[in-house]
Amino acid sequence: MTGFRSRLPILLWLALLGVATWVVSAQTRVVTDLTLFLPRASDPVENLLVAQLRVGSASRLILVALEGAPSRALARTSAALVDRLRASRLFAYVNNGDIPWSPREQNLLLQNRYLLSAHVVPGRFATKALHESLEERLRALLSTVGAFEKHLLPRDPTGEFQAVSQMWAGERRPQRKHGVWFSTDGKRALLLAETRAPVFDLQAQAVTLSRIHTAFAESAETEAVRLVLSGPSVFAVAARNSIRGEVWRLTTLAIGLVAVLLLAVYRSARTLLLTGLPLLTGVLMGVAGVSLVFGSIHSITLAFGATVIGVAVDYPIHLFSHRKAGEAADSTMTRIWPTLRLSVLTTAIGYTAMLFSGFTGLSQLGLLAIVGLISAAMVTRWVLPVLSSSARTEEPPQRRLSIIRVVDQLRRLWWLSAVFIVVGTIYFVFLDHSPWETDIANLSPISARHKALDRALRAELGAPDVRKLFIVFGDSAEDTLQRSERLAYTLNEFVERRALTGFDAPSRYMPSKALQRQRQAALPTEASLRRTLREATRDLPFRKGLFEPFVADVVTARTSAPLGPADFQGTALGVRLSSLLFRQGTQWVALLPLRGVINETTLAQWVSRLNDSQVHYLDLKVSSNQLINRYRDEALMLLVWGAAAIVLVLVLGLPSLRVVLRVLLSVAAGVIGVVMLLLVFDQRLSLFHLVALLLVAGIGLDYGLFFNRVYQERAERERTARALAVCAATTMLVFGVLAVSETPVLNAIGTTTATGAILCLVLSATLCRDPTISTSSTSAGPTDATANFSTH
Amino acid sequence: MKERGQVSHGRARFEEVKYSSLLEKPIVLRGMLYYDAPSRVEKRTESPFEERYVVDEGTVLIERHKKRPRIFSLQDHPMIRAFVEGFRATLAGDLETLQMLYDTHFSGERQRWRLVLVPLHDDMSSIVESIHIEGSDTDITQIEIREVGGDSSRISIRENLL
Repeated sequence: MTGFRSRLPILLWLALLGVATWVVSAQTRVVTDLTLFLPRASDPVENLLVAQLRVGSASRLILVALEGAPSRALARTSAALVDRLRASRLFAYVNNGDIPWSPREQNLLLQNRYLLSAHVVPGRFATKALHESLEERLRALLSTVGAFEKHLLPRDPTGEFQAVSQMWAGERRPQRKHGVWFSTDGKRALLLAETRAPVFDLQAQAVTLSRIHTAFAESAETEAVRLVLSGPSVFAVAARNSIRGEVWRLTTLAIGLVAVLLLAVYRSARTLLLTGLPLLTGVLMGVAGVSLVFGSIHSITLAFGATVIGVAVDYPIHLFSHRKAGEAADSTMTRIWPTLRLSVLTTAIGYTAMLFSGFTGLSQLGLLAIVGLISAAMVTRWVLPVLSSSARTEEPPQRRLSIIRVVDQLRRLWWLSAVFIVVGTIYFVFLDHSPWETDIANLSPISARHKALDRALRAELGAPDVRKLFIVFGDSAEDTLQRSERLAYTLNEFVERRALTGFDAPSRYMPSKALQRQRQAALPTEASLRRTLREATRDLPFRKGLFEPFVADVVTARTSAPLGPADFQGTALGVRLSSLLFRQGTQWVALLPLRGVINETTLAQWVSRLNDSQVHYLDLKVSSNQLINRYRDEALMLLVWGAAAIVLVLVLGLPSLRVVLRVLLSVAAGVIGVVMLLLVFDQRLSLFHLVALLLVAGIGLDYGLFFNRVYQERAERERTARALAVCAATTMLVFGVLAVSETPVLNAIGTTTATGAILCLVLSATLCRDPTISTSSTSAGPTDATANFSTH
Repeated sequence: MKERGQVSHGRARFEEVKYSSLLEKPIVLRGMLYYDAPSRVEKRTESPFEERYVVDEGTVLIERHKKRPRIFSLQDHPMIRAFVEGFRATLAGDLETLQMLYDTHFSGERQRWRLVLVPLHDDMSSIVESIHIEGSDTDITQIEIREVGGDSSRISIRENLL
């Protein structure tokens, strides 16, 4: 094995590594858009749900609190902070309660008050009503604070501007102190900021958050002032950072432990380094493959994928542990390759089903696993033997514990897998609760303390904690607003009947053009207005001609063009409106968030009677949980297909159905056993557990296949048992470390896989090949089960 | 000013004349003023209509013509606060607060003094030009508010009832 032929695999490998490195460094874009891991929406409501999770205005809200100092210092810090944040241009709006609207916005509301005010109805400008309004204005003018109320009097004697601006300001506002918002106990100054960046753009969100921190550091009046932040993006960035930190810490720890273990076993640094080669190649190739096919890779795929490919560390372990003293690595490889090949193929096929997933995240993960595992196996097969030709391995000394003796003891428990399967099945049948985690909130890495803080701030700020809402679809803004108006009319009745305490609707701020025209029609003509004004002011001391501006404004309003949402663009009013009324594809959507839903059945019944495909009642929490459940169900379906494919490959690749059965039995028992153990220990299963189960299945197949090889000598059985013990030990180390993580995702994968690996090792040992058969005198050819196909 | 700070209660009848460009003729209002040191002031108008106007610490209550009273925080309305403090701080002899909000000019002698307040802050000075307060000893006899644009209001305190 010298010369070009033997070096060819190395050259090919290096060339491919070069290409992959180039692809990864030049092409790979790691994205963090969580919605890649959300299912493709099946209807407009789900579509909207996903869109709202991605870019919804509520998702971009950051709640800010300042605490720890006297209220005056907090108020001054709040004012300085707002100025800096507004100047940063990173926010659609920032508010601490200082001024509701800018002069431009005030002017917009003032100019259009007769179209926007809900008080403009027929009779509003009749003599009696007008007289009452004017008397009320006179008293205000003569009052102690009259100086502040007089400037709009000649223009707006019926107070429409005040009505409109109060309505836009919203009903629920925090109390104010020293001119800014404060919590009820007066200990926290409160601010609201809406980021321009969508919540899924974690990079931009991280920049935005760090900007808040620097702005705060510059604004804080004393050292004592503390900054408290909350909101979806704050959580997302914190979660990312904590997962990142934890992954880094745990991975380093796991790699260190595995290195110590392998060094102890092989006593060779070179062997240790060679063990890492297939793994690294696999990850690199996998990432390059995913970037080439998908154009980018999701950070979750990357994290998961690295774990999945981590199993590839078993391949070189098989090579080194099966090598006899003085044997050429290449001939060891030839000996174990058929089994290893089958193991890799079945595992890879398990992931093939994921390729067909509707969720980009899952298909990326499938591709990453397949490419990674296969290239790791190929490196082990063709590259490692060349590189390790001079690497020494030692035959295990006789004085060491003979593992095969333990295995032979375990063989007496051949019935154990069947027991696991039967007991597991009975357990599942009689399980009195759903095995699935149905509340996605429990998967979030956010601590209960932070969730409580978020709720408290939200309640104080009156920020929408939108959970229950009506969604109205329409073909145009006008159509949608008209529907929203009709819905609001009914909802008002529900409020009166105390089925709910309140609601918001875009049509309250932005009436439909039809309604604006109705209001125009309710405005009197110039002649009639002058006549009623004369009568209404007869006994009042107002100067003659004082109300000319009023007459002029009403006359203008009668014929002015109705407003549309576009007229509010670029203002804080527009921002507010666009969170309730927006375009989605070719449709328009109006959101009517509900407050204090007391009688949900009444609402639900009404909606079902309505039978209008354009109006939907939605409980966001329930719906997003359903969405996640659908996602999980699809993943489960894919796993079933994967399992079927694995069975097929095993039937084709193994010498007898007996062997197939033995392998499958141990794997199935291992998987069922893990699930049962998880449930017994009160864990609920999530998508992450499913992915980990696929991992367990792959590991179990590997053990089962190797335990069922045909051996020629007892020493080879010992070597296999040793190899599997080392494999299982590394798996236990890596995933055991993950299992101590407090991040639900890592914990789920760690616990499941570590438990699964040990179960599969024991169970596959109980079902390992009968040594009395394996020592039968077959030919001196490859001693693999596959090759012995014909002899059975 | 200092002595004014020692007065703890007060009750007086007032007559207020409002001159407004919005109105055909000046309007005369009559009622009672109550003061409890250091931060409660009540102005109760009896004619030509009823209005109760109470400033207590940081809140203002306005009850007008048998309507539901409106209560709001002075901090929400910095202009009204400046305006209110013009009287309240004068009544309480709180020179420090006065000087935070106004340029103050004191003239005359003990028996007949005059305090002119000119608002310092833009939002207030765009509406109120100056406030003139006249008094004798610790009594305030007249408050005149001159608004930008020529409107004004003169409150004469007729009899101090203790």
